[in-house]
Amino acid sequence: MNMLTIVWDGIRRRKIRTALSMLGIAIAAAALFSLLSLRQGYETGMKSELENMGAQVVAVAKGCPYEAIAVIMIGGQVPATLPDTVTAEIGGIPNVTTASPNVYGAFEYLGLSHPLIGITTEELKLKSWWKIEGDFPSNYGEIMLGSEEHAAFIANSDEYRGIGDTINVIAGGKAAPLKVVGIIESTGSKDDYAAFTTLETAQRLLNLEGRVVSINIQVADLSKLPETIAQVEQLPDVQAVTIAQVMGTIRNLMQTGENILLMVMLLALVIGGLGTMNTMMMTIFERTREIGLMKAIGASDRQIFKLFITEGTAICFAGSVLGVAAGSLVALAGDRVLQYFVPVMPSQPVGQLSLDAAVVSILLPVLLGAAATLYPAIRAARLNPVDSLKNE
Amino acid sequence: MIKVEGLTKTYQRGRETVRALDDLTLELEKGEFAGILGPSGSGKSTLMNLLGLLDQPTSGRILIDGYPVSGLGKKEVDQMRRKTIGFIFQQLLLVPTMTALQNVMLPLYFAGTARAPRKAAELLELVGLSQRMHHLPGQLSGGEIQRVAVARALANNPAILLADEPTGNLDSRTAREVFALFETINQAGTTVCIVTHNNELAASLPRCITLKDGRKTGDVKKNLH
Repeated sequence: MNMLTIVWDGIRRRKIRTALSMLGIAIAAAALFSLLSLRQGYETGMKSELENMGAQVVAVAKGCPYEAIAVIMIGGQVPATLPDTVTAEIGGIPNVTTASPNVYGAFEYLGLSHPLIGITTEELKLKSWWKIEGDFPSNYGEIMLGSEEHAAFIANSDEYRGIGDTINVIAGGKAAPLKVVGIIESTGSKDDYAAFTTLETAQRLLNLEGRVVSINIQVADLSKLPETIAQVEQLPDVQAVTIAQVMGTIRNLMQTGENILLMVMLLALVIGGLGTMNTMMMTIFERTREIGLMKAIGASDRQIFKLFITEGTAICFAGSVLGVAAGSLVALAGDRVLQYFVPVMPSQPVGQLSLDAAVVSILLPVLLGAAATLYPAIRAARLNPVDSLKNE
Repeated sequence: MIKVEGLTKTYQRGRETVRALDDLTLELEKGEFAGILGPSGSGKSTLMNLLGLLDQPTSGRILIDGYPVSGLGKKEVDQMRRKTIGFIFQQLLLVPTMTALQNVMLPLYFAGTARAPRKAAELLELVGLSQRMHHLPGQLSGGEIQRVAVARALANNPAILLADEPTGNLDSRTAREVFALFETINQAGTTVCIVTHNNELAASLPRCITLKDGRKTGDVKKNLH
């Protein structure tokens, strides 16, 4: 016999009540664990997404910075563009090593909208990891597909078999034939889901002649970044956003929602803790005589206290482990859950199980359980054996 | 062994102060078998609770082996209760969801005794229940339950066994059997003190202390041998 034998004997006597308080804790722990796991997955995903841009600074037309971020992240249509002469002006700034102009837009094909990005060979300097099968688009009407686009077209299109074939799309409201000249091998980023073409092609198809949407900038000396940004912003109508700022903005946007969710979860945990406290109080009332008996046959106050604090903590521990198990399912299905709540999703799956999150989601309810059981356990320990034995 | 000096215990019942024990003085020798008799409300159970260190006297003192118990701290009292005193209740009090063996192991666990299962099994054998060790209290008769309680009280080899009306809830035949068990234990050297209403059993006790209204009204020692 050890303490756990006695604790278990107490627990199994009131299975339903124990199960209910365990469930309360489990729900809170599951929510906490899935939120923490998803947050970590999302942040990692977004970070690698931004790193995959290859640029440290992005120049866009002045306007709402959030809109600029949306353009950078999801390639939406923007009204604010820059004259393409800006590219050369930025390229002339001393610290700038690469200035790669981009035109973002979309074309329709097979009934779906696909991102179309106009680039120049400058982009290759930023994305040194690109492995291109075939050629980089150099003439009007030539495109290069991301690996996932290529796979989707092979699977669904009758006219497309691979490099050399022409697909007939609708862009800027007009029908346009585009010849696939290259395929980018899988990068694990958004690039896998886009089609790239020459700057000129994108400008003409999207009715943006002479304009660019953004200029991706790489600098030689990162310590001089503030000066470089200041120089870029001296150009009329241009604002520069660093990738660090973009990350910070995304984090801020997430943070507000997260904080509210975390508060709700902590509240759920506290309610779960109160449930445990209630269960333990009931237990002690019901077992008053037994506690008196245990004291009469030699149990010290300390031993009685330990028995009950262990029981309460064990209930919360079991509840939180169950909760983390259930929360794992939610976390693994992360992308499907998250896409309903956030506008910008990284292309890598965010669903992952985080050890840190598991530790927090188990430790917090256990500590809370111990705190909630403190008062009932002290009461039990202080019971007078003579009075308790009279209790019916 | 046990010396009680000027022991007084008062309770507050509403506005009324009840004197459950009133300046009681008595002494129990080592190896004695004493009965405490008296009508209900005479202070028998109060005396047992005080002797069993389950309660604190209002005034007066208890000495065990010459040491005054009232001066001890809570920890020492727990220790003393665990090591020196075995307690048996009138109500058939076992933990209902634990087997006979587990019930006997409880005091051994609280005292931190090693090899508790073996010791508990030996005690159950002593009280004649070696065949019923793994039965739950619900599967045992009243006499059997009280014998488990006796085994449990003996678990830590107490010097004194205190029993508060241990046969009160048993039929006369079973009561005699349990009583015989106390005699056996006493013969093995344990001091036994029992409260009883049963006059037939009381008649066979070597010593009878009678209480009334919290005072000692009689103390008869018989030489049965």
